[in-house]
Amino acid sequence: MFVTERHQKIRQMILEYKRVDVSNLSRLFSVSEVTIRKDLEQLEKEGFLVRTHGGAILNEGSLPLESSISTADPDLLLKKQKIGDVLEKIISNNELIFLGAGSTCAEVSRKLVTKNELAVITNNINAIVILSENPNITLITTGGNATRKNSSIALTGSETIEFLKGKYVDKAIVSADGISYLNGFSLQNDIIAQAYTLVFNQANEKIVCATSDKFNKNAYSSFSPIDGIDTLITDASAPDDYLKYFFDHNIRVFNAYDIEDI
Amino acid sequence: MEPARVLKVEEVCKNFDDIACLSNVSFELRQGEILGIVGGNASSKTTLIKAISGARTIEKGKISVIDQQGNEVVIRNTADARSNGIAVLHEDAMIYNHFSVAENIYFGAYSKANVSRGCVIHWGNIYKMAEKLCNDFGFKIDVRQSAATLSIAEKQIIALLHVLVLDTRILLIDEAFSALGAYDTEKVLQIIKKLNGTGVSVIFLSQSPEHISNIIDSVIMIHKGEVGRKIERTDADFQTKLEEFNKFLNSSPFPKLEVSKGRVLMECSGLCYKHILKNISFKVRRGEILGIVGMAGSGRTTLARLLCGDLHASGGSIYMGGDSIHMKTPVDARKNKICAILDDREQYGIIPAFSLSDNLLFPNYHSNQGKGPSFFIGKKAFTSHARTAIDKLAIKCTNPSQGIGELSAGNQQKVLVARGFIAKAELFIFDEPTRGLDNAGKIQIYNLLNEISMSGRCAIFITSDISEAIGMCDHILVLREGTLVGDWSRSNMSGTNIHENLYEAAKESMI
Repeated sequence: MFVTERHQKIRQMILEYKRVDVSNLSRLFSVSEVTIRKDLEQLEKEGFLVRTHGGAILNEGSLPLESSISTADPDLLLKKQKIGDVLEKIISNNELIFLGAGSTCAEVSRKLVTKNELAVITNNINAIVILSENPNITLITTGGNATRKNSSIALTGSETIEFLKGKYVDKAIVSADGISYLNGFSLQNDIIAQAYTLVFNQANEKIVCATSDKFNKNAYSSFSPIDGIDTLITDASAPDDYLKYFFDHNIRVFNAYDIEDI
Repeated sequence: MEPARVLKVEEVCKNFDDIACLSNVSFELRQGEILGIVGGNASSKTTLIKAISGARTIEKGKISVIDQQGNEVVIRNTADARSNGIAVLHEDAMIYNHFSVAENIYFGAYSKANVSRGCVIHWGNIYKMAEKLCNDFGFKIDVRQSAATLSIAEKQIIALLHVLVLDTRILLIDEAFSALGAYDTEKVLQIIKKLNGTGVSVIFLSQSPEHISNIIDSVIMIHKGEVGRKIERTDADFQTKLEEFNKFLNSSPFPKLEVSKGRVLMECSGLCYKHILKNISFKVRRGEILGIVGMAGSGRTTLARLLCGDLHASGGSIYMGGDSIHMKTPVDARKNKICAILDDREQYGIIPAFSLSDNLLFPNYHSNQGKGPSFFIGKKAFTSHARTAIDKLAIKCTNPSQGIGELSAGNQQKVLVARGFIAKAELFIFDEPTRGLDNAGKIQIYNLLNEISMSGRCAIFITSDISEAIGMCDHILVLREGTLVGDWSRSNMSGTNIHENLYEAAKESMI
């Protein structure tokens, strides 16, 4: 069993039993206690659990963020984490960015926690909880009503759009529900889609983070034509024809590979 | 009545070795026109200018000047160019520092300016004429002062006045503004506008059209040696096209990531191989992508083979992590955590008759995940290993037991890279990995390079594609005929520099 599989199983156990034991886990997975401790350390960094003497307990405060991610495809989570790794290298300290809603943007914000003097304007409540860990990051929320989809909470409404008018940013980072040639980058929530269109016109660099399952899908409302972005960060399974299209149109594509455990 | 043409460029083609540098370039320049030619790095725009000024010969096509009598004069060399009124203004204005301003303006033009009688030069007249010229152009300067004390902008202006004095009809300006600030650029542009007012036609070469967008009458985009149609200021789509070009030039499709560099992992010192490679020395740091650019026959594959133990160096040493290593066979390379993916994969990499998973795991049968030596080849464990690799690297195949010969080139390379990861390689050597791949395959290779550097490993990337090297490498070494002739860091690498290294361009003298 590989590291990531073990992590996933530990997450599931914690959700079910609310606590785990180092010696039990070590016996269960046939690995040393040192290995288990390392696993727990990593999961604690992700905010999933809190280590105790001899084991770990669920981090109650993080529950809304984690429940859908852990029961969903563990591969998807990994892909979002890799996207976050790439984004972390693209963003410098001292930048003003807009971060969009959704689980992908929340997951990538985990990797941005270490950036000092970053200023983030966002409507992504989950991301705010994560980024608030670092007091050196300036967090600004847009206005709007809090709405929840699965485990993602976002601010949406006409106030959101009003707030964003005239706010210029270095980089706008959003995700998409659908990516297709005809419909461009699209989102189910049309109000948030309008907000993205607005922010894109006010950003130096337009970045979309999306896992490869979004390709060739059409969501309700398009917020950008297919060639209207500067950078796309996706995973290794992105379709070849899209890669070709973006390269020919001078759009940078990062399809993040995960080479650990090969 | 439409102004007469002064320059005709027809179907010009230029090759370097077997690579087409300019392809069917055609356009015309009118009397008094200011034309902007915009293109990015490695677009061959400098080669085009050199062809027009006669400094480069062309394989096909014709470049001709139309003189005042309406006759076409073909330009074949710099003498033709000069005598027909073509002059070039370079990025570093060719000024003689030890001469005065006036001398620099009138250098080579003493008889034309009527300031000499026989062998005697009347300096008094020179200073007077220089002063008048500067005043006419609104340029305040003491013409007797030494050129060494001038600012860069002032040197450019002197170079421009010199060009005027030489009876130039067609002025070619090659990126003359990158070293100037906005204010200085304005000053120089005004002088150029005045020059143009006296009838001089101008061709601007630029990577950033916004500098010159106000002054040009027309624009042509050059990309990879090909030009688009000329767009006039009077055309309806002039502004939108300019914006389009600007956006295109300011963006690059190469997914470069800035990764912090660690300690030196590999160091080569004075490597030699027979008569093919001489004195190769370089360092590679963790997290770094080192590019080695060279044409066919430069010795680049020999170098790659040396670095992976396939060939034995005749001199010099290789250090990994500070320790001197001696590689007699590729097995030694693997032991030293080096993985090479060479050009001719069939000969050096894959075992064509075997399956994907066999190719993946063949050299790694002994590495039973650290559980000790295994005398049995556990099929199940290895297939699952192969499946993980296929999944993580998105290798397109029907299943792990598919014959590797059936995979596409790009996917075969991924198998070799995965083999390197399984063998816990720290240094990857890629020899022309993107040759023959389509753009999708290229992007995947670039992202693999990124992953290698992000994970603290390093990559040596050998290529003959300059734009790719500039797009993806942190550091570029240029190899020509077995020696390293260029060493460029990210801050100073450019298509022109590397091209010059490769083709031994001599700096042009002041025209």
